[in-house]
Amino acid sequence: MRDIYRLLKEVEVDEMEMSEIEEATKVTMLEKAKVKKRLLKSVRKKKGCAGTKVIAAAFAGLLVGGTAYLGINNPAYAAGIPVIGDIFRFLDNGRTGVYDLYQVNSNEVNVSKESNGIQITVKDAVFDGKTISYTYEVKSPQDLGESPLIGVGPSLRIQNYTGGLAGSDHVEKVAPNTYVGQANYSIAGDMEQVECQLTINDILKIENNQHEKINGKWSFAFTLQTVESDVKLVHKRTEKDGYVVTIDKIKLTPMSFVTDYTQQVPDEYRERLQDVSAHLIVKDDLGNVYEGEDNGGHGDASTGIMNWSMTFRKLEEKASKLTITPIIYISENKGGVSFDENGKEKKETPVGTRENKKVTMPEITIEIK
Amino acid sequence: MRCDERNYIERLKKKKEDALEYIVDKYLGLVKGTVCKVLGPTYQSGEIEECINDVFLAVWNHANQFEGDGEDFKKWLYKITKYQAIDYYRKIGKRDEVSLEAESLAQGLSTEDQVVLQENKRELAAFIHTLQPIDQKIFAMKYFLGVKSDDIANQLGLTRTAVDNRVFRGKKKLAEQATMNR
Repeated sequence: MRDIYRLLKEVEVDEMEMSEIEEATKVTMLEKAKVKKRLLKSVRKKKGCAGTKVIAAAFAGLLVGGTAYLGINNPAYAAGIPVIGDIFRFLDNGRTGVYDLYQVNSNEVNVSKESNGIQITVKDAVFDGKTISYTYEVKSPQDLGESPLIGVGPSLRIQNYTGGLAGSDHVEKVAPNTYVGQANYSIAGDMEQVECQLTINDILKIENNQHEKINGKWSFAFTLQTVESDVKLVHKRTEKDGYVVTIDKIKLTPMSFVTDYTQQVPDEYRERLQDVSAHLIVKDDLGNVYEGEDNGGHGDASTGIMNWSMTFRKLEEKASKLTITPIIYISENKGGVSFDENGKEKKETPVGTRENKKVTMPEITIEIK
Repeated sequence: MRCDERNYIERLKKKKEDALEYIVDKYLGLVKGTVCKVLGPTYQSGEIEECINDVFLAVWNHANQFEGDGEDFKKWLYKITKYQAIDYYRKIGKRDEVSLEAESLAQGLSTEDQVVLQENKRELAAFIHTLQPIDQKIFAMKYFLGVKSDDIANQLGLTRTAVDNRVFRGKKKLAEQATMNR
Protein backbone atom coordinates (compact mmCIF):
# COMPACT_ATOMS: atom_id res chain seq x y z
CA MET A 1 0.00 0.00 0.00
CA ARG A 2 3.00 2.23 -0.61
CA ASP A 3 1.15 4.68 -2.80
CA ILE A 4 -1.52 5.55 -0.29
CA TYR A 5 1.05 6.80 2.21
CA ARG A 6 2.72 8.87 -0.46
CA LEU A 7 -0.63 10.32 -1.49
CA LEU A 8 -1.58 11.10 2.08
CA LYS A 9 1.57 13.13 2.46
CA GLU A 10 0.38 15.46 -0.28
CA VAL A 11 -3.18 16.10 0.82
CA GLU A 12 -4.44 18.98 2.93
CA VAL A 13 -5.49 18.51 6.50
CA ASP A 14 -7.72 20.51 8.81
CA GLU A 15 -5.11 21.77 11.25
CA MET A 16 -7.66 23.32 13.54
CA GLU A 17 -9.43 20.00 13.96
CA MET A 18 -6.10 18.28 14.51
CA SER A 19 -5.11 20.68 17.31
CA GLU A 20 -8.53 20.45 18.94
CA ILE A 21 -8.35 16.67 19.05
CA GLU A 22 -4.83 16.72 20.43
CA GLU A 23 -5.73 19.18 23.17
CA ALA A 24 -8.93 17.41 24.15
CA THR A 25 -7.42 13.92 24.50
CA LYS A 26 -5.81 12.90 27.75
CA VAL A 27 -3.39 10.01 27.82
CA THR A 28 -1.98 8.39 30.94
CA MET A 29 1.49 6.94 31.44
CA LEU A 30 -0.08 3.51 31.73
CA GLU A 31 -1.79 3.85 28.37
CA LYS A 32 1.48 4.86 26.76
CA ALA A 33 3.23 1.94 28.38
CA LYS A 34 0.60 -0.45 27.11
CA VAL A 35 0.71 0.86 23.56
CA LYS A 36 4.50 0.68 23.51
CA LYS A 37 4.53 -2.83 24.88
CA ARG A 38 2.05 -4.04 22.32
CA LEU A 39 3.83 -2.27 19.46
CA LEU A 40 7.22 -3.66 20.35
CA LYS A 41 5.63 -7.08 20.45
CA SER A 42 4.18 -6.61 16.94
CA VAL A 43 7.40 -5.18 15.56
CA ARG A 44 9.50 -7.98 16.97
CA LYS A 45 7.06 -10.65 15.92
CA LYS A 46 7.48 -9.51 12.32
CA LYS A 47 11.24 -9.76 12.55
CA GLY A 48 11.17 -13.36 13.76
CA CYS A 49 10.24 -16.21 11.49
CA ALA A 50 10.92 -19.48 13.28
CA GLY A 51 7.94 -21.13 14.88
CA THR A 52 9.44 -23.54 17.32
CA LYS A 53 8.64 -23.46 20.99
CA VAL A 54 12.24 -22.75 21.90
CA ILE A 55 12.21 -19.61 19.81
CA ALA A 56 8.83 -18.65 21.20
CA ALA A 57 10.19 -18.91 24.71
CA ALA A 58 13.19 -16.81 23.82
CA PHE A 59 10.83 -14.28 22.29
CA ALA A 60 8.78 -14.07 25.45
CA GLY A 61 11.98 -13.25 27.29
CA LEU A 62 12.80 -10.57 24.78
CA LEU A 63 9.43 -8.99 25.21
CA VAL A 64 9.85 -8.72 28.94
CA GLY A 65 13.35 -7.41 28.30
CA GLY A 66 11.79 -4.80 26.09
CA THR A 67 9.73 -3.49 28.94
CA ALA A 68 12.81 -3.07 31.07
CA TYR A 69 14.53 -1.41 28.17
CA LEU A 70 11.78 1.19 28.07
CA GLY A 71 12.36 1.90 31.69
CA ILE A 72 16.06 2.52 31.26
CA ASN A 73 15.87 4.67 28.19
CA ASN A 74 13.09 6.99 29.12
CA PRO A 75 13.46 8.51 32.59
CA ALA A 76 9.88 9.77 32.64
CA TYR A 77 8.64 6.27 31.98
CA ALA A 78 11.01 4.73 34.52
CA ALA A 79 9.65 7.09 37.14
CA GLY A 80 6.10 6.14 36.22
CA ILE A 81 6.55 2.40 36.28
CA PRO A 82 6.83 1.57 39.96
CA VAL A 83 3.42 3.15 40.51
CA ILE A 84 1.47 1.09 38.04
CA GLY A 85 -2.02 1.80 39.28
CA ASP A 86 -3.91 -1.00 37.64
CA ILE A 87 -1.76 -4.10 37.46
CA PHE A 88 -4.71 -6.24 36.35
CA ARG A 89 -5.11 -4.13 33.24
CA PHE A 90 -1.44 -3.59 32.68
CA LEU A 91 -0.63 -7.29 32.58
CA ASP A 92 -3.58 -8.09 30.35
CA ASN A 93 -2.07 -5.66 27.89
CA GLY A 94 -5.33 -5.06 26.07
CA ARG A 95 -5.46 -8.60 24.78
CA THR A 96 -8.66 -9.86 26.35
CA GLY A 97 -10.08 -6.95 28.29
CA VAL A 98 -11.14 -9.46 30.96
CA TYR A 99 -9.42 -7.47 33.71
CA ASP A 100 -10.41 -3.95 32.66
CA LEU A 101 -12.77 -3.46 35.59
CA TYR A 102 -11.03 -5.59 38.21
CA GLN A 103 -9.15 -2.77 39.85
CA VAL A 104 -12.27 -0.69 40.56
CA ASN A 105 -14.06 -3.66 42.07
CA SER A 106 -11.17 -5.00 44.08
CA ASN A 107 -10.24 -4.62 47.71
CA GLU A 108 -7.04 -2.83 48.47
CA VAL A 109 -4.74 -5.12 50.44
CA ASN A 110 -1.54 -3.10 50.10
CA VAL A 111 0.50 -5.10 52.59
CA SER A 112 4.27 -5.29 52.19
CA LYS A 113 6.53 -7.97 53.61
CA GLU A 114 10.27 -7.96 53.42
CA SER A 115 12.52 -10.98 53.71
CA ASN A 116 16.06 -11.55 52.56
CA GLY A 117 16.12 -7.95 51.31
CA ILE A 118 13.28 -8.60 48.86
CA GLN A 119 10.03 -6.73 49.35
CA ILE A 120 6.75 -8.22 48.15
CA THR A 121 3.59 -6.13 48.30
CA VAL A 122 0.16 -7.63 47.72
CA LYS A 123 -1.70 -4.74 46.12
CA ASP A 124 -5.31 -5.58 45.29
CA ALA A 125 -7.46 -8.66 45.56
CA VAL A 126 -10.91 -9.61 44.38
CA PHE A 127 -13.08 -12.73 44.56
CA ASP A 128 -15.90 -13.31 42.11
CA GLY A 129 -17.24 -16.35 43.92
CA LYS A 130 -15.11 -18.71 41.85
CA THR A 131 -11.73 -17.10 41.34
CA ILE A 132 -9.48 -15.22 43.71
CA SER A 133 -7.38 -12.72 41.76
CA TYR A 134 -4.67 -10.66 43.35
CA THR A 135 -1.89 -8.42 42.16
CA TYR A 136 1.53 -7.95 43.69
CA GLU A 137 4.74 -6.08 43.27
CA VAL A 138 8.26 -7.33 43.92
CA LYS A 139 11.20 -5.04 44.60
CA SER A 140 14.54 -6.64 44.96
CA PRO A 141 18.06 -5.35 45.60
CA GLN A 142 19.30 -7.83 43.01
CA ASP A 143 18.12 -8.71 39.54
CA LEU A 144 15.76 -11.70 39.56
CA GLY A 145 16.01 -12.41 35.86
CA GLU A 146 13.39 -11.70 33.26
CA SER A 147 10.58 -13.85 34.62
CA PRO A 148 11.14 -15.23 38.07
CA LEU A 149 8.78 -17.70 39.70
CA ILE A 150 7.37 -16.08 42.82
CA GLY A 151 6.66 -19.01 45.09
CA VAL A 152 7.31 -22.58 44.05
CA GLY A 153 4.52 -25.05 44.60
CA PRO A 154 1.20 -24.21 46.25
CA SER A 155 1.42 -20.89 48.05
CA LEU A 156 -2.25 -20.03 48.59
CA ARG A 157 -4.44 -21.75 51.13
CA ILE A 158 -8.08 -21.08 51.88
CA GLN A 159 -9.39 -21.76 55.35
CA ASN A 160 -12.14 -24.35 55.59
CA TYR A 161 -11.77 -25.31 51.98
CA THR A 162 -10.55 -28.76 51.17
CA GLY A 163 -10.98 -28.97 47.40
CA GLY A 164 -8.36 -28.36 44.76
CA LEU A 165 -7.21 -25.01 43.45
CA ALA A 166 -6.48 -24.31 39.80
CA GLY A 167 -4.11 -21.43 39.47
CA SER A 168 -2.09 -19.24 37.19
CA ASP A 169 0.53 -16.65 37.93
CA HIS A 170 1.94 -14.06 35.58
CA VAL A 171 4.84 -11.83 36.48
CA GLU A 172 6.68 -9.22 34.44
CA LYS A 173 9.71 -7.08 34.91
CA VAL A 174 8.71 -3.43 34.65
CA ALA A 175 11.90 -1.65 35.67
CA PRO A 176 15.31 -2.79 36.87
CA ASN A 177 14.78 -5.06 39.89
CA THR A 178 11.05 -4.31 39.92
CA TYR A 179 8.35 -6.77 38.95
CA VAL A 180 4.56 -6.80 38.95
CA GLY A 181 2.44 -9.90 38.93
CA GLN A 182 -1.07 -11.21 39.01
CA ALA A 183 -2.26 -14.57 40.23
CA ASN A 184 -5.62 -16.26 39.82
CA TYR A 185 -6.78 -19.22 41.87
CA SER A 186 -10.11 -20.88 41.20
CA ILE A 187 -11.96 -23.08 43.61
CA ALA A 188 -14.23 -25.98 42.81
CA GLY A 189 -17.84 -25.01 43.50
CA ASP A 190 -18.78 -21.64 44.96
CA MET A 191 -18.09 -19.80 48.21
CA GLU A 192 -19.47 -16.60 49.70
CA GLN A 193 -16.28 -15.59 51.42
CA VAL A 194 -12.69 -16.78 51.39
CA GLU A 195 -10.06 -16.39 54.05
CA CYS A 196 -6.82 -16.53 52.15
CA GLN A 197 -3.36 -17.26 53.46
CA LEU A 198 -0.66 -16.56 51.00
CA THR A 199 2.75 -17.87 51.96
CA ILE A 200 5.69 -17.49 49.64
CA ASN A 201 8.78 -19.34 50.79
CA ASP A 202 11.01 -19.01 47.81
CA ILE A 203 11.64 -17.18 44.57
CA LEU A 204 13.08 -19.03 41.64
CA LYS A 205 15.32 -17.04 39.37
CA ILE A 206 15.46 -18.74 36.00
CA GLU A 207 18.09 -17.71 33.52
CA ASN A 208 19.70 -19.59 30.65
CA ASN A 209 18.10 -22.76 31.95
CA GLN A 210 19.83 -22.26 35.29
CA HIS A 211 17.67 -22.17 38.38
CA GLU A 212 18.65 -20.21 41.45
CA LYS A 213 16.47 -20.39 44.52
CA ILE A 214 16.22 -17.46 46.91
CA ASN A 215 14.65 -18.40 50.23
CA GLY A 216 12.61 -16.16 52.45
CA LYS A 217 9.23 -15.91 54.07
CA TRP A 218 6.56 -13.59 52.87
CA SER A 219 3.14 -14.26 54.46
CA PHE A 220 -0.10 -12.47 53.86
CA ALA A 221 -3.64 -13.01 55.07
CA PHE A 222 -6.72 -11.41 53.61
CA THR A 223 -10.42 -12.12 53.64
CA LEU A 224 -12.49 -11.50 50.55
CA GLN A 225 -16.23 -11.36 50.20
CA THR A 226 -17.59 -12.40 46.86
CA VAL A 227 -18.62 -9.44 44.71
CA GLU A 228 -22.32 -8.96 44.09
CA SER A 229 -23.49 -11.20 41.32
CA ASP A 230 -26.48 -12.35 39.40
CA VAL A 231 -26.61 -16.03 38.58
CA LYS A 232 -28.49 -17.39 35.56
CA LEU A 233 -28.99 -21.11 35.48
CA VAL A 234 -28.77 -22.32 31.91
CA HIS A 235 -28.47 -26.12 31.58
CA LYS A 236 -28.24 -26.19 27.79
CA ARG A 237 -26.25 -28.79 25.96
CA THR A 238 -24.64 -29.33 22.60
CA GLU A 239 -23.26 -32.53 21.13
CA LYS A 240 -20.91 -33.64 18.41
CA ASP A 241 -19.08 -36.93 17.67
CA GLY A 242 -20.27 -38.21 21.03
CA TYR A 243 -18.72 -35.33 23.00
CA VAL A 244 -21.18 -33.32 25.05
CA VAL A 245 -20.73 -29.83 26.46
CA THR A 246 -23.34 -28.41 28.82
CA ILE A 247 -23.45 -24.77 29.80
CA ASP A 248 -24.50 -24.97 33.43
CA LYS A 249 -24.72 -21.38 34.57
CA ILE A 250 -23.57 -17.88 33.94
CA LYS A 251 -22.70 -15.56 36.75
CA LEU A 252 -22.70 -11.84 36.03
CA THR A 253 -20.50 -9.69 38.26
CA PRO A 254 -19.76 -5.95 38.13
CA MET A 255 -16.48 -6.63 36.35
CA SER A 256 -16.96 -9.89 34.47
CA PHE A 257 -19.10 -12.87 33.73
CA VAL A 258 -18.18 -16.40 34.64
CA THR A 259 -19.48 -19.37 32.71
CA ASP A 260 -19.55 -22.80 34.32
CA TYR A 261 -19.75 -25.71 31.93
CA THR A 262 -19.38 -29.44 31.87
CA GLN A 263 -17.70 -31.62 29.31
CA GLN A 264 -18.41 -35.28 28.80
CA VAL A 265 -16.10 -37.57 26.88
CA PRO A 266 -17.62 -40.75 25.42
CA ASP A 267 -16.56 -44.02 27.06
CA GLU A 268 -14.95 -45.42 23.95
CA TYR A 269 -12.45 -42.57 23.71
CA ARG A 270 -11.67 -42.18 27.35
CA GLU A 271 -9.10 -44.95 27.54
CA ARG A 272 -6.71 -43.59 24.99
CA LEU A 273 -7.24 -39.84 25.13
CA GLN A 274 -4.83 -38.18 27.46
CA ASP A 275 -6.13 -34.68 27.46
CA VAL A 276 -9.53 -33.33 26.47
CA SER A 277 -10.54 -29.80 27.27
CA ALA A 278 -13.37 -27.62 26.05
CA HIS A 279 -13.03 -23.87 25.60
CA LEU A 280 -15.79 -21.41 24.82
CA ILE A 281 -16.08 -18.72 22.21
CA VAL A 282 -18.73 -16.22 23.24
CA LYS A 283 -20.48 -13.59 21.16
CA ASP A 284 -23.41 -11.35 22.01
CA ASP A 285 -26.30 -10.17 19.85
CA LEU A 286 -24.64 -6.78 19.34
CA GLY A 287 -21.72 -8.41 17.57
CA ASN A 288 -19.22 -8.20 20.44
CA VAL A 289 -16.83 -11.09 20.86
CA TYR A 290 -15.63 -11.93 24.36
CA GLU A 291 -12.24 -13.46 24.91
CA GLY A 292 -12.06 -15.54 28.02
CA GLU A 293 -9.59 -16.70 30.59
CA ASP A 294 -9.57 -20.33 31.63
CA ASN A 295 -10.08 -20.97 35.31
CA GLY A 296 -9.08 -24.61 35.13
CA GLY A 297 -11.45 -27.32 36.22
CA HIS A 298 -12.04 -30.48 38.16
CA GLY A 299 -13.59 -33.79 37.38
CA ASP A 300 -13.41 -37.50 37.64
CA ALA A 301 -11.30 -39.55 35.27
CA SER A 302 -13.47 -42.62 35.79
CA THR A 303 -16.68 -40.97 34.59
CA GLY A 304 -15.11 -38.77 31.90
CA ILE A 305 -16.98 -35.76 33.22
CA MET A 306 -15.05 -32.53 33.74
CA ASN A 307 -16.35 -29.26 35.14
CA TRP A 308 -14.70 -26.18 33.75
CA SER A 309 -15.22 -22.47 34.05
CA MET A 310 -14.11 -19.46 32.07
CA THR A 311 -14.16 -15.77 32.93
CA PHE A 312 -14.95 -13.07 30.39
CA ARG A 313 -14.91 -9.29 30.50
CA LYS A 314 -18.06 -7.51 31.65
CA LEU A 315 -21.10 -8.22 29.54
CA GLU A 316 -22.22 -5.25 27.45
CA GLU A 317 -25.28 -3.84 29.19
CA LYS A 318 -27.48 -3.79 26.10
CA ALA A 319 -26.71 -7.39 25.16
CA SER A 320 -29.70 -9.68 25.51
CA LYS A 321 -28.46 -12.92 23.98
CA LEU A 322 -25.23 -14.87 24.05
CA THR A 323 -24.10 -17.34 21.46
CA ILE A 324 -21.61 -19.83 22.83
CA THR A 325 -19.54 -22.12 20.63
CA PRO A 326 -17.62 -24.75 22.57
CA ILE A 327 -14.41 -26.02 21.00
CA ILE A 328 -12.96 -29.26 22.24
CA TYR A 329 -9.21 -29.72 22.08
CA ILE A 330 -8.17 -33.33 22.10
CA SER A 331 -4.67 -34.54 22.63
CA GLU A 332 -3.37 -38.06 22.75
CA ASN A 333 -0.08 -36.72 23.98
CA LYS A 334 0.89 -36.09 27.54
CA GLY A 335 3.96 -34.64 29.16
CA GLY A 336 5.12 -31.75 31.30
CA VAL A 337 5.90 -31.40 34.96
CA SER A 338 3.92 -31.64 38.12
CA PHE A 339 4.58 -30.41 41.64
CA ASP A 340 3.87 -32.49 44.73
CA GLU A 341 2.55 -30.87 47.88
CA ASN A 342 6.05 -30.05 49.09
CA GLY A 343 6.68 -28.15 45.91
CA LYS A 344 8.97 -30.81 44.54
CA GLU A 345 9.08 -30.93 40.77
CA LYS A 346 8.39 -34.19 39.00
CA LYS A 347 8.72 -34.71 35.26
CA GLU A 348 5.87 -36.66 33.70
CA THR A 349 6.84 -39.24 31.12
CA PRO A 350 5.80 -38.04 27.67
CA VAL A 351 3.22 -40.28 26.04
CA GLY A 352 2.09 -40.38 22.43
CA THR A 353 3.19 -38.42 19.44
CA ARG A 354 -0.01 -37.94 17.49
CA GLU A 355 -1.27 -34.62 16.32
CA ASN A 356 -3.79 -32.74 18.41
CA LYS A 357 -7.38 -32.50 17.25
CA LYS A 358 -10.00 -29.79 17.51
CA VAL A 359 -13.77 -30.28 17.40
CA THR A 360 -16.03 -27.24 16.99
CA MET A 361 -19.42 -27.99 18.50
CA PRO A 362 -22.77 -26.59 17.37
CA GLU A 363 -23.46 -23.28 19.07
CA ILE A 364 -25.79 -22.69 22.01
CA THR A 365 -27.89 -19.54 22.26
CA ILE A 366 -28.77 -18.18 25.67
CA GLU A 367 -31.24 -15.45 26.52
CA ILE A 368 -29.67 -13.22 29.12
CA LYS A 369 -32.60 -10.88 29.70
CA MET B 1 22.48 7.94 21.00
CA ARG B 2 19.20 9.07 22.47
CA CYS B 3 16.10 9.79 20.56
CA ASP B 4 14.87 13.39 20.71
CA GLU B 5 12.99 16.08 18.83
CA ARG B 6 15.79 16.52 16.30
CA ASN B 7 16.53 12.96 15.34
CA TYR B 8 13.39 10.88 15.86
CA ILE B 9 12.33 10.92 12.20
CA GLU B 10 15.76 9.76 11.09
CA ARG B 11 15.83 7.07 13.76
CA LEU B 12 12.34 5.96 12.80
CA LYS B 13 13.50 5.49 9.22
CA LYS B 14 16.41 3.42 10.50
CA LYS B 15 13.93 1.26 12.42
CA LYS B 16 15.22 2.18 15.84
CA GLU B 17 12.71 1.07 18.44
CA ASP B 18 13.35 4.06 20.68
CA ALA B 19 11.98 6.31 17.93
CA LEU B 20 8.76 4.31 17.94
CA GLU B 21 8.52 4.80 21.70
CA TYR B 22 9.24 8.48 21.23
CA ILE B 23 6.36 9.01 18.81
CA VAL B 24 4.00 7.11 21.11
CA ASP B 25 4.99 9.46 23.95
CA LYS B 26 4.62 12.51 21.76
CA TYR B 27 1.57 11.72 19.66
CA LEU B 28 -0.54 9.08 21.41
CA GLY B 29 -3.07 11.76 22.37
CA LEU B 30 -3.57 12.84 18.78
CA VAL B 31 -3.81 9.27 17.52
CA LYS B 32 -6.13 8.07 20.27
CA GLY B 33 -8.38 11.13 19.96
CA THR B 34 -8.67 10.74 16.20
CA VAL B 35 -9.40 7.01 16.37
CA CYS B 36 -12.00 7.50 19.12
CA LYS B 37 -13.65 10.28 17.14
CA VAL B 38 -14.16 8.03 14.12
CA LEU B 39 -14.85 4.70 15.79
CA GLY B 40 -16.91 6.31 18.51
CA PRO B 41 -17.19 5.57 22.20
CA THR B 42 -19.73 2.82 21.67
CA TYR B 43 -17.24 0.42 20.17
CA GLN B 44 -15.28 -2.15 22.06
CA SER B 45 -12.10 -0.72 23.45
CA GLY B 46 -10.31 -3.67 21.86
CA GLU B 47 -10.97 -2.37 18.38
CA ILE B 48 -9.79 1.11 19.23
CA GLU B 49 -6.60 -0.29 20.71
CA GLU B 50 -6.10 -2.51 17.68
CA CYS B 51 -6.50 0.46 15.36
CA ILE B 52 -4.05 2.61 17.36
CA ASN B 53 -1.53 -0.20 17.14
CA ASP B 54 -2.02 -0.43 13.38
CA VAL B 55 -1.48 3.32 12.96
CA PHE B 56 1.91 3.22 14.65
CA LEU B 57 2.84 0.06 12.78
CA ALA B 58 1.95 1.74 9.47
CA VAL B 59 4.17 4.69 10.37
CA TRP B 60 6.95 2.29 11.35
CA ASN B 61 6.64 0.35 8.11
CA HIS B 62 6.32 3.37 5.81
CA ALA B 63 8.56 5.90 7.52
CA ASN B 64 10.90 5.74 4.54
CA GLN B 65 8.29 7.38 2.36
CA PHE B 66 8.15 10.41 4.57
CA GLU B 67 10.10 13.58 3.79
CA GLY B 68 9.80 16.73 5.86
CA ASP B 69 10.07 18.18 9.34
CA GLY B 70 8.31 17.52 12.63
CA GLU B 71 5.23 19.56 11.80
CA ASP B 72 4.81 17.73 8.47
CA PHE B 73 5.30 14.46 10.30
CA LYS B 74 2.52 15.28 12.74
CA LYS B 75 0.14 16.04 9.87
CA TRP B 76 1.18 12.88 8.05
CA LEU B 77 0.59 10.82 11.18
CA TYR B 78 -2.81 12.46 11.65
CA LYS B 79 -3.81 11.60 8.07
CA ILE B 80 -2.64 8.01 8.44
CA THR B 81 -4.65 7.76 11.67
CA LYS B 82 -7.77 9.06 10.02
CA TYR B 83 -7.29 6.74 7.07
CA GLN B 84 -6.76 3.69 9.30
CA ALA B 85 -9.71 4.57 11.54
CA ILE B 86 -12.05 5.04 8.58
CA ASP B 87 -10.79 1.80 7.10
CA TYR B 88 -11.58 0.07 10.40
CA TYR B 89 -14.97 1.68 10.52
CA ARG B 90 -15.79 0.36 7.05
CA LYS B 91 -14.57 -3.11 7.92
CA ILE B 92 -16.62 -3.26 11.07
CA GLY B 93 -19.72 -2.28 9.12
CA LYS B 94 -22.76 -0.72 10.61
CA ARG B 95 -23.51 -1.48 14.23
CA ASP B 96 -26.66 -1.00 16.20
CA GLU B 97 -25.25 2.10 17.69
CA VAL B 98 -22.77 4.42 16.07
CA SER B 99 -21.51 7.79 17.10
CA LEU B 100 -22.81 10.86 15.31
CA GLU B 101 -19.46 11.31 13.66
CA ALA B 102 -19.47 7.79 12.25
CA GLU B 103 -23.10 8.12 11.23
CA SER B 104 -22.51 11.25 9.21
CA LEU B 105 -19.51 9.59 7.66
CA ALA B 106 -21.59 6.66 6.51
CA GLN B 107 -24.37 8.84 5.21
CA GLY B 108 -21.95 11.01 3.28
CA LEU B 109 -21.12 8.14 0.96
CA SER B 110 -23.40 7.35 -1.95
CA THR B 111 -23.84 3.86 -3.34
CA GLU B 112 -21.52 4.81 -6.13
CA ASP B 113 -18.91 5.91 -3.62
CA GLN B 114 -19.20 2.60 -1.84
CA VAL B 115 -18.47 0.86 -5.13
CA VAL B 116 -15.39 3.00 -5.60
CA LEU B 117 -14.27 1.97 -2.13
CA GLN B 118 -14.70 -1.67 -2.85
CA GLU B 119 -12.16 -1.38 -5.65
CA ASN B 120 -8.84 -2.66 -4.56
CA LYS B 121 -7.30 0.15 -2.54
CA ARG B 122 -3.95 -0.23 -4.18
CA GLU B 123 -5.44 -0.02 -7.64
CA LEU B 124 -7.40 3.00 -6.59
CA ALA B 125 -4.25 4.66 -5.28
CA ALA B 126 -2.42 3.83 -8.50
CA PHE B 127 -5.29 5.31 -10.49
CA ILE B 128 -5.34 8.47 -8.41
CA HIS B 129 -1.69 8.99 -9.29
CA THR B 130 -2.64 9.30 -12.95
CA LEU B 131 -4.89 12.29 -12.21
CA GLN B 132 -3.93 15.95 -12.10
CA PRO B 133 -2.41 17.06 -8.76
CA ILE B 134 -5.56 18.85 -7.65
CA ASP B 135 -7.73 15.82 -8.42
CA GLN B 136 -5.28 13.57 -6.59
CA LYS B 137 -5.85 15.63 -3.47
CA ILE B 138 -9.62 15.62 -3.87
CA PHE B 139 -9.78 11.84 -4.36
CA ALA B 140 -7.43 11.06 -1.49
CA MET B 141 -9.31 13.38 0.87
CA LYS B 142 -12.67 12.03 -0.16
CA TYR B 143 -11.96 8.32 -0.25
CA PHE B 144 -9.13 7.79 2.18
CA LEU B 145 -9.82 10.46 4.77
CA GLY B 146 -13.62 10.66 4.50
CA VAL B 147 -13.62 14.45 4.14
CA LYS B 148 -16.94 15.87 2.92
CA SER B 149 -17.10 17.74 -0.40
CA ASP B 150 -17.84 21.05 1.32
CA ASP B 151 -14.78 20.77 3.52
CA ILE B 152 -12.60 19.73 0.60
CA ALA B 153 -13.83 22.81 -1.28
CA ASN B 154 -13.01 25.03 1.70
CA GLN B 155 -9.54 23.66 2.15
CA LEU B 156 -8.59 23.76 -1.49
CA GLY B 157 -10.22 27.13 -2.18
CA LEU B 158 -12.66 25.73 -4.74
CA THR B 159 -16.42 25.84 -4.99
CA ARG B 160 -18.46 22.81 -3.97
CA THR B 161 -19.59 22.45 -7.59
CA ALA B 162 -16.00 22.43 -8.81
CA VAL B 163 -15.15 19.65 -6.36
CA ASP B 164 -18.22 17.61 -7.36
CA ASN B 165 -17.45 18.05 -11.04
CA ARG B 166 -13.90 16.89 -10.59
CA VAL B 167 -15.05 13.88 -8.57
CA PHE B 168 -17.62 13.07 -11.25
CA ARG B 169 -15.08 13.29 -14.07
CA GLY B 170 -12.55 11.32 -12.07
CA LYS B 171 -15.01 8.53 -11.38
CA LYS B 172 -15.96 8.43 -15.06
CA LYS B 173 -12.31 8.10 -16.00
CA LEU B 174 -11.91 5.34 -13.42
CA ALA B 175 -14.93 3.50 -14.82
CA GLU B 176 -13.50 3.72 -18.34
CA GLN B 177 -10.15 2.47 -17.18
CA ALA B 178 -11.76 -0.41 -15.31
CA THR B 179 -13.72 -1.43 -18.43
CA MET B 180 -10.58 -1.25 -20.55
CA ASN B 181 -8.67 -3.48 -18.17
CA ARG B 182 -11.33 -6.14 -18.21
